[in-house]
Amino acid sequence: MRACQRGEPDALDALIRATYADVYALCRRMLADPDEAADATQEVFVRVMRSVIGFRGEAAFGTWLHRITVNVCLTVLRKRSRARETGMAAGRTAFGLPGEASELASSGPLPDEIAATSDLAARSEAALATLAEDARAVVVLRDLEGLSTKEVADLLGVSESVVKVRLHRAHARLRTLVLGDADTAIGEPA
Amino acid sequence: MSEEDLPRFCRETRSQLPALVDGELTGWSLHVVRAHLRHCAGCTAERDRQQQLADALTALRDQPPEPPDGLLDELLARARPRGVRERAAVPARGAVSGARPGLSVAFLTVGALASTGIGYGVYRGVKTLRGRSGG
Repeated sequence: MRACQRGEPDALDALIRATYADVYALCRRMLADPDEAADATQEVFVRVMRSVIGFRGEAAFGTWLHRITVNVCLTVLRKRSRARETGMAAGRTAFGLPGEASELASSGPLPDEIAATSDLAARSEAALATLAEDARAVVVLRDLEGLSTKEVADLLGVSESVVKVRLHRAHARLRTLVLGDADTAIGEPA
Repeated sequence: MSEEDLPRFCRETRSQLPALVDGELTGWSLHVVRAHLRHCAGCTAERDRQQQLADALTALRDQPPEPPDGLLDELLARARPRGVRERAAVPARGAVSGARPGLSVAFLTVGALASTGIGYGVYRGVKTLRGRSGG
């Protein structure tokens, strides 16, 4: 990082090589679209190059890069949402809270296709892609990236209780898709 | 049976299950939930389902999606033509000199002093000329 700030020619290459796979993975899961994830990864490193000189080490580099990546992904998701609002897509999902404009992610695989996948991780990946964007963002940040509920709430600009509700509903949906539970399978008490 | 129809103790236990599965439940809450699970098959089954999902997500975390071929080359190609310094067009917050705010303060102070000096000089010059033309 310091070498980058000093303008050493190979330092930026080394930084990109060391971090691009993680950045892409996060973008891919947040956006559930490989092409948009690749574009978002490019945008992340453009922002890194613009602001690396001003990076003062107040946060760890990984935290700083993670925040840039999440912000780029959220920008893409907001653009998608705006595009839908102008009439490019329609369809409500059960994940939105009252008053929220949450839309069904339509590009993911079908539930039957998910069930037919034998590998648990592959099935989970496919199920994740079918979640609505706000639900998927919470699952990715909380469960896969390991952020706390408060950190997720701060990043998404919502309250912690909203994060918890979204996570609860997303988990119920994932259990249905990944484990084959019925949506209403609550289980009888003893 | 919907979740609202469950006995109160089951509802409270189930609200604690995510924390239990995450290993974040401690103390008295952990003790109470474990005691309930020992004799409630429904809540135990729900705990097992939540644990299965947690395992699935852990498997997902351990297998991140691979970046596409060519992405690294594209990123490196975009970074190479001009180095970081040339691309760093946006200075640090409020800074005139980019990464060195201390230098910015010095620039601004020198600028302010120079402007004041020039202004005072012009004022004195005009006053002197007026005095001469008046006398």
